[in-house]
Amino acid sequence: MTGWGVVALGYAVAGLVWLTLVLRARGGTRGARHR
Amino acid sequence: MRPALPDLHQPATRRRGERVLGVAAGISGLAALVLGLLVAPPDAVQGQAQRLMYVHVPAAWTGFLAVAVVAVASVAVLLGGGRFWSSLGRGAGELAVGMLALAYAEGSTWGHAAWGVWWTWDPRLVTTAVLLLTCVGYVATGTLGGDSRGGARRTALVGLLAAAEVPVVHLSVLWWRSIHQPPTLLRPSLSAPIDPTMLLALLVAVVAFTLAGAWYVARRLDQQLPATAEAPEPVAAVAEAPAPVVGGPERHAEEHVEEVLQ
Repeated sequence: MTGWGVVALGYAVAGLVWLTLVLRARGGTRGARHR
Repeated sequence: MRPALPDLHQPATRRRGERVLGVAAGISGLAALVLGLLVAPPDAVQGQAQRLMYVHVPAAWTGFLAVAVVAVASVAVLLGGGRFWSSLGRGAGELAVGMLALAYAEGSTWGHAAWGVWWTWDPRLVTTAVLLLTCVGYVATGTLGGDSRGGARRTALVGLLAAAEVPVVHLSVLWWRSIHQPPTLLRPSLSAPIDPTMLLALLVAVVAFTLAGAWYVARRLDQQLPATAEAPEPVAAVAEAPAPVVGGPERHAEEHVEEVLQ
């Protein structure tokens, strides 16, 4: 895997991490709201 | 007299700041994507894979910044600061875990393309792994300790340990023989050997990550603090001051709120 394939994988991982953080920050998980 | 800095103990002030941070992070994030994927040229040697640096470097920077916030919050907790500081540290600790893990994932993906391996026993990689695990321990300790004073103090000690590891991680590429490249921007000579367009893409991405990280910590702080305004919590000097003799119904109400929050 070279070139744009690596870039796509890396940016997809970054998108997932930020999506997780945004959902947690917006209170999308029960644990986030209560802790 | 109005305070010079915004009073983060006021929920309305926090929410207004969150909105500004959120919009600024979104706009700068879009700009960073366009610059990093479309405008910046491919690297002469690494090709397109170098574009992973526009995520890897800002993630590592934001992770280190979050650990710095953890350090400040930990010192405040150890000096007698209350729930505001422990909540700030918790949010920053979660951000540090997310960003350091992301920096690791990007570095590993890039390493597989450039070095041919996902992982190797390199000083930078090992020290970063220790820092990431310490941050996971900080968040876990904060969860296990509940809201007790002793739990907050134990958590703060783990936070200080994480902060002490940051300079070791940064200098690991200079102290020991490493396959990880030395700092491009934060180096003694301050002359960055990088294409101006690449530098612009990198700096915009750093700004976007920093703003988004600040938004996350502000949101998490708002979730953990009471919805109504309360007086700033005491640090050691204020906590040791003698209690006022005269007390009215308002004072009893404040004491009741504090008891519920403990």
